[in-house]
Amino acid sequence: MTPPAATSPSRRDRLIGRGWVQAAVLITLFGFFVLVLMGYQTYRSSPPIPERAVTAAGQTVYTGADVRAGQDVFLKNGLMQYGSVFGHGAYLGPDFTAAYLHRSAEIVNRSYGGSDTATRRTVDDFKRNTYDDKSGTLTVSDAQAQAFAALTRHYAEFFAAPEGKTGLRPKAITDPVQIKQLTSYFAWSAWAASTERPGKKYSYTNNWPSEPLVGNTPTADTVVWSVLSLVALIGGTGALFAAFGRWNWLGWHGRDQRELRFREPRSVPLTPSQRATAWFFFAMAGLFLVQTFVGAAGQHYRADLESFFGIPLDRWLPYNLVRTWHVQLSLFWVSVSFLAAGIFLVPMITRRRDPKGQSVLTHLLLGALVVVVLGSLLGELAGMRGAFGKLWSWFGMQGFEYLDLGKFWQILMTVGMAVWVAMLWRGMRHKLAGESRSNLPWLFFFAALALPVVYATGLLTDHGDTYTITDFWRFMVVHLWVEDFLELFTTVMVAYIFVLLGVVREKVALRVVYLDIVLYSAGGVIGTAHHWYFNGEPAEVLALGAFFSALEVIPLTFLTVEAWSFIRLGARQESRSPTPFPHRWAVMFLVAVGFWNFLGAGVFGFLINLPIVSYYEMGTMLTANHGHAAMMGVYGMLACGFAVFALRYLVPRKYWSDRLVSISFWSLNAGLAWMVFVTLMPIGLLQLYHAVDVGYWDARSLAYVGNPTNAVFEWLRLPGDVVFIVGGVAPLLWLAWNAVIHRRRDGAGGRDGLATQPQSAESADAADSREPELALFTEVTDPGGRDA
Amino acid sequence: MRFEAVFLACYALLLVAAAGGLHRLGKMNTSPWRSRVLAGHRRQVPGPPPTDGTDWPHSEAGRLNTLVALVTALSAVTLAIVGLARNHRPIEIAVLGVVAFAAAAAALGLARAFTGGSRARS
Repeated sequence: MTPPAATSPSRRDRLIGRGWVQAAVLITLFGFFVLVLMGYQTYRSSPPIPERAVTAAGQTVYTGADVRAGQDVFLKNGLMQYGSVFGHGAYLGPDFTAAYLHRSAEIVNRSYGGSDTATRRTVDDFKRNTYDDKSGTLTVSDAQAQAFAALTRHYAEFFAAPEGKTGLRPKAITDPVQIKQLTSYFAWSAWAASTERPGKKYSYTNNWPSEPLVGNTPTADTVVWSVLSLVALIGGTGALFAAFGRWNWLGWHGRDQRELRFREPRSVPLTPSQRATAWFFFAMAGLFLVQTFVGAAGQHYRADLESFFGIPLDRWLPYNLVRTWHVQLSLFWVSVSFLAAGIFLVPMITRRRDPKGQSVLTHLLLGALVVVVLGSLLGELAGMRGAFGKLWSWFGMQGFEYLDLGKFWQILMTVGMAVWVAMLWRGMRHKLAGESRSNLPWLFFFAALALPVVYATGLLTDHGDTYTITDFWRFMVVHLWVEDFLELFTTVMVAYIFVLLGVVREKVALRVVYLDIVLYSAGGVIGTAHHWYFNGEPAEVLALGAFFSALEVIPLTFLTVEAWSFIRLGARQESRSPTPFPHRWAVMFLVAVGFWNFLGAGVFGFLINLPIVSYYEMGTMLTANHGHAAMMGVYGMLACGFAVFALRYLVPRKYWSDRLVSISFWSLNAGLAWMVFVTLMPIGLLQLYHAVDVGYWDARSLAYVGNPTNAVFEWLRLPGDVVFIVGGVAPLLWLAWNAVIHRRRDGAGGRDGLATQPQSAESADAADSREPELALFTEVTDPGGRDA
Repeated sequence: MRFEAVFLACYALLLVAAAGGLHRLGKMNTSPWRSRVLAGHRRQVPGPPPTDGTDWPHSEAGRLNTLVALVTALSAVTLAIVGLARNHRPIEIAVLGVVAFAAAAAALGLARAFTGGSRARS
């Protein structure tokens, strides 16, 4: 390893070897290079939308304009939050691609007589690619045209059902033109899923979904890359353990010789911007509570489609609306906590007062967040009901799962995050000016900067593009932003908090962060492609996704192994410090993050990651099982941990209750475990079995989802959800409220109050020379007793 | 036995086994220094002072494992009882009854371990 070298006379030395920095940069660049190549392939190889689909006699069945308009109808009505296309979307409604394919194949097969010969003829009908690229014409058989007409009638009845009971609003879509456009969209997706890609023996979707009637079976790529994916996982994990065995300096190690004295929270001074974050944490807890309520409403639809205890909930809050809100709010409340934690941490990192106007900016940011959250949620409600005319995708329901909010709100959200980064810059610029760009303060800033930058790529998702292209950009947010860059920001935040607490040395934290960047860049960036196995991308993308996403499990294993050393660090410092460690419960939330990271993201994630498993599993409750255990278990617990960390300073001692936090901690974990083990996992396993045994389209049908066995599992979830909401979320909301109402009862060291620092100087520069460093929450001393 | 009864019995047994494993893991005072896999740590880094299993946060981290194990075992009890209520053939009653009993015994033991840990702390 190259020894650290000074970067410039005015900056602090680089604390880590040059090799680490080079490895992180090169591997990240390689990851993004491959990602860009895959993007190129996406535009080049996505299934075409024919200008017109005609019969041999020249009768038009549907046009390209119908398909594109059908995609708009699908999105603006929130149908991706009800069912799915190409397996991507929600889990209550059917997969419209698989359902259309199966139903039309049955009709075609019947029209050919239903014999073995008819079956072969049906397969040939669907497999033979009759699309003429030059004329843009797709020629379909008369039988397929008949199937299209029959299914248009079927969807007219389904979407216009006056009695509802499908999870959608009664009479959700009644316009015959829209019904035809929607059916055209489903027909096109079924065509892409069955007809052979030019020059290949499999369809545009790598033969997904499984459908024997049209000869759709797993491809050689799907099987072989599943095997190679396992090899990557086992080999990579072995290499990681070998590295740990060889190099003892990897991972978390404590401050071996120094002693720590933790300050009482009330004696730690807070800046005005830090105190303003009390509102953020209150908003976070409030949004969390609302998210659980709409989640419970969505869950009720799965248990009982008929009514909500006699109330026709689907008239006002149909499933696709409550699920949209549930998904959007999960991102919102976690993001609010992360933003607040960033603002809260800056003065602790810099040990300086706020720059002028920082508190005002913090309040403005909160206001902007409230506007975006309320505006987007109400926009989704109104958009699904047909509001906003041609501007539906700007202000209403843009409709892509996880990117449901209108583009206008999406832009505001991006701008809000950019303002947040600017605020961090204002607070940190003096600190950054004196630091090597490879050190922790810059990594903190870069990780924060990456959040708006990567989120902004989601703006390229355009409802006018082919589905495959829209999905490419959608997963820049769903995977790259959520699973990779939030993870990176998280690692840096946690590392920094531990450095500030004095629990680990900065050098050790830096190594952990760089190792994290290397491991996540190797697996996570290219691994984004594991979402694109069957959505119209070519087989190369499937191969890359399968191989590299298996490597994603390796850092999770690393985190689990390291969780023990991580815990041990806290124990050692607790036993040495003469004052009690104030962050027992914040650390416990981090322990829970480690637990759920391995179970939810690692085990449950890998369970559905192999292409051959995903082929049958995609869009079943095993995906929800992974989603809940990973999103709540990792990011949710982490957001709660950040909140508890900050609230410990924001809530005066008189109003603080460790007992309330402990109730919240145990209830959240117990509720989540119950949700996973009693409902999501058994239902998912049964659904997967059914998909392989009977058929994917049937496993995704409303009839299967609502069967009596499933209903029992769904109802059994109720006690766990009650524990989660009442015992888990409510105490957090109460503590955050206490932080809001008591945050102004200041007075340094005053009775029951919060210590504060003086108001911000007229100019941070002017104050620079005379400003004493803020007292931190930990004093670090060496064994001789000298302050460090 | 019908499919639902077989599934519930097998799944509940799997949960009981997972609960036992999780609880065992929580009780272990493991660390990279003690791990045989990560022998390099032992070789090159002087071991930290021994940590008592009741020291925080070992105690609480172990309790998290025990809590999740307890919830897992309670899930098994619930699912086995629901299976019994819906499947009444003699063989189904016998199998699910045994599974429910095993799961209940596991849940009871885990509940004691969880609340015992709480008392020890206070």
